[in-house]
Amino acid sequence: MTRIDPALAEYATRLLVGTGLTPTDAADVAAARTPATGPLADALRDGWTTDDQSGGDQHTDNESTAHDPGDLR
Amino acid sequence: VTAEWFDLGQRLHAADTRTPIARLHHAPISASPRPVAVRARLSGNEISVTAANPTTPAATATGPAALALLDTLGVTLAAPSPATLVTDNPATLALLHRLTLATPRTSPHDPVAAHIGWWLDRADFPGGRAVVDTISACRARWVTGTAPTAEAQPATWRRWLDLPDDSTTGLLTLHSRLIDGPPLRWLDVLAEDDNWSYNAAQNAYADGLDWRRPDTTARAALGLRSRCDAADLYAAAVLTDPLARRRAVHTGHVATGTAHPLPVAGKPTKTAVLEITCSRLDIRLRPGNSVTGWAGPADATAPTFAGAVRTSTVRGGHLILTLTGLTGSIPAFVQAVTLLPAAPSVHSQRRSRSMYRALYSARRSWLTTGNRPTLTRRPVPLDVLVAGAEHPDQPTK
Repeated sequence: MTRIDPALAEYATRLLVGTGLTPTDAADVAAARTPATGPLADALRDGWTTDDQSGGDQHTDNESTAHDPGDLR
Repeated sequence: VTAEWFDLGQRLHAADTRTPIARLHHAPISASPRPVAVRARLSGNEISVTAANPTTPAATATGPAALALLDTLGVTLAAPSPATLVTDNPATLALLHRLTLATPRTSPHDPVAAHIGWWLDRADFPGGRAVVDTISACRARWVTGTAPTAEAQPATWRRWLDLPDDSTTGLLTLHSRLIDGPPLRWLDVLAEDDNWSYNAAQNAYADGLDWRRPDTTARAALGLRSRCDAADLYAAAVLTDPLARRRAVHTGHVATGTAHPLPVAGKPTKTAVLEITCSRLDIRLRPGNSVTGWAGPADATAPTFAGAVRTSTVRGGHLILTLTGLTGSIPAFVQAVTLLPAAPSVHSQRRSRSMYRALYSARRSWLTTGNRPTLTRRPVPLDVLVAGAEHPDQPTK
């Protein structure tokens, strides 16, 4: 179970108003420990899974330069 | 728009792992050859400044002596290249400015004051390296497992990044951490603009112009234009990062969907129009926007195509974008695609600013004379007429 500090819990509670989820429920949905579908679950999971490395120490991608949005200008 | 929930997912993951989660794979600021960490504080009526650079330990001085301290750290227009102000205190630059206003033009520290004036001028250029607010840069690069309000405090970042040193030397360590790794694209262009501006400030100072004087109309207009260009370029630079694009799907700035290429009549191998069935309705692309795209998800690698949005309609509960003027690698039928706004051309931006500058410096241009340009008439697109008729300040009868 995710340990959530009180400030984050309060913030998350406000964000989750009307969704029927508590911050702990949201963490379980985000981590796919609880099955759920819909825009809220999709967004939470997408955020949870963006990057598994900490501290910004991973710079392994090179795709951003591979498909340079300015290439065709 | 589900970006807030996306961010919450990142925060909960950070809380779960007790480590910050990256918002960007790339560094949001470029490396600086001469960083100077500075914190200024107001005690009573006195401004005290603590500063350090990578070769000189932290020292503190008050009042005019603070400018002498900054001089020893290379913060002077007499230096061949600009110093970068690194700070985690938003009040620092304003307090330094107050110090400079109390410095007479005849003071030996006037070149230091002029350098601070240059910092003030460049501080609001997105992606520039004249002034680095480490708090903003940290928030651009990582997310912590706490509430967003806590991230406004330097102590939160020191704790999450495991950098316990709260001195200005520690601030330089945080700066090194921020510039670690490959920078976002075009930060080098924005740094070049900083250098160009520094050289212009040096020349103006050498010509005896007082940097404290208010901007002329031309200078203010060019400054606004330059800031807009920098903001456009930085926004495009952020979208070159795969993690930022993944979030931008939730803000509607990046569209994902499936492709339906429609061939030219009589030429089945040539695509004239590309229909994109978007996976979301809250896409910010509009008719007339130039776009870049590729086959695959938002954080994938693939050859790109380019085009322009011709129409945007909702059919069967889906947003359909039709693209024309296509070049590059056109995706196949029902292939998953990603679309985002085309990045501005650096060359076009510079050429346009150069023309703008020329118009303001030419005595007879309509901008400098204040005379209205000669009225010319041309056909107005129907969309513009309709938009004008619907303007809320001018209700139609």
